Amino acid sequence: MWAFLASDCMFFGCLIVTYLIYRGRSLQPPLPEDIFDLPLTSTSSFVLLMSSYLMVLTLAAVQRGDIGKFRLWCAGTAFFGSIFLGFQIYEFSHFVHAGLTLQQNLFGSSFFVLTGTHGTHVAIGVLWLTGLLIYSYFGGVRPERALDVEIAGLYWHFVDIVWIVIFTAVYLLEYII
Amino acid sequence: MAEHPDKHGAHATIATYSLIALALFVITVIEVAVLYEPLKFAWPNFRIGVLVGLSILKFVLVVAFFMHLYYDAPVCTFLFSLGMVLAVGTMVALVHLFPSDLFPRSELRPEGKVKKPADQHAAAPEGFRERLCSFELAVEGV
Repeated sequence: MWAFLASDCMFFGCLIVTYLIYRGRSLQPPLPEDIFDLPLTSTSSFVLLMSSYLMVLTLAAVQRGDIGKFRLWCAGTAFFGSIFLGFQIYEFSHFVHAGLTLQQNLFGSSFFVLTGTHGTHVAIGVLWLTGLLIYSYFGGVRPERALDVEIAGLYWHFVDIVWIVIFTAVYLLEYII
Repeated sequence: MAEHPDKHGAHATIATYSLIALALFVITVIEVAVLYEPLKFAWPNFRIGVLVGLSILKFVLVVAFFMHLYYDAPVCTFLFSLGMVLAVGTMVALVHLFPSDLFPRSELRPEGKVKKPADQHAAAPEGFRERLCSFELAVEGV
């Protein structure tokens, strides 16, 4: 799993640097300063960070054999991930209504590819966690199989750390230079 | 990945995880606060440095403790570090492959809606707009 995450680092690294290289080069509006909503994005970032916290609680619960708590925290993690996806969908629809599409300008294409790819990763993570939750009701999640949950946790935390980088490089940087 | 107690003899506790989560929340608040008064009038490079530094700190906290890399075998650290080195190296190479500045002034908003330092209000270099148009056309496949 670590090898896969290392390869995914390179994948997201290329997408992020593509966004940064195209930054400020759009010839048509809308531009980032026209449409970015920092309070909304900050809230979604906080939600994703807290989902990472719930994920470690999920793993701790299964390692000590508390399947009830495992289901609680696992459901909470998937729920928080879904909230984050909801924020992303709202943001994307708001941007499209403002005139920003994949074809509109360089900002639109690079932004939507980067954040859309990240959102797809989050959606896969939510499906994975939901699958684990359902699997637990069939007795598939046990302390001796905690590695299964740990691998899912690694993927979820990776999605979170990618968002940490995206939030800084895409959103916060726009308010400074 | 370790299912068993770590090299130091114990897993991270729930209290540790809670402290890390609290630290992540506080760091995020600081990052956003940098964009508002009174810090928003500070030197831009200083604020960028603060943001980058805090992001790296959050990154390391999540990787080391939430992902258990601190407690896992060194080969896991090597694997992840190798990917990170390649990713950062690729990013640096791509930045240097493109001839213009990483953070150019936008052609549409020369004065900028966001507060910018005085030296960024200088006129674009001669031929910049022509190079920019041909660059964007090349990207669009024209």
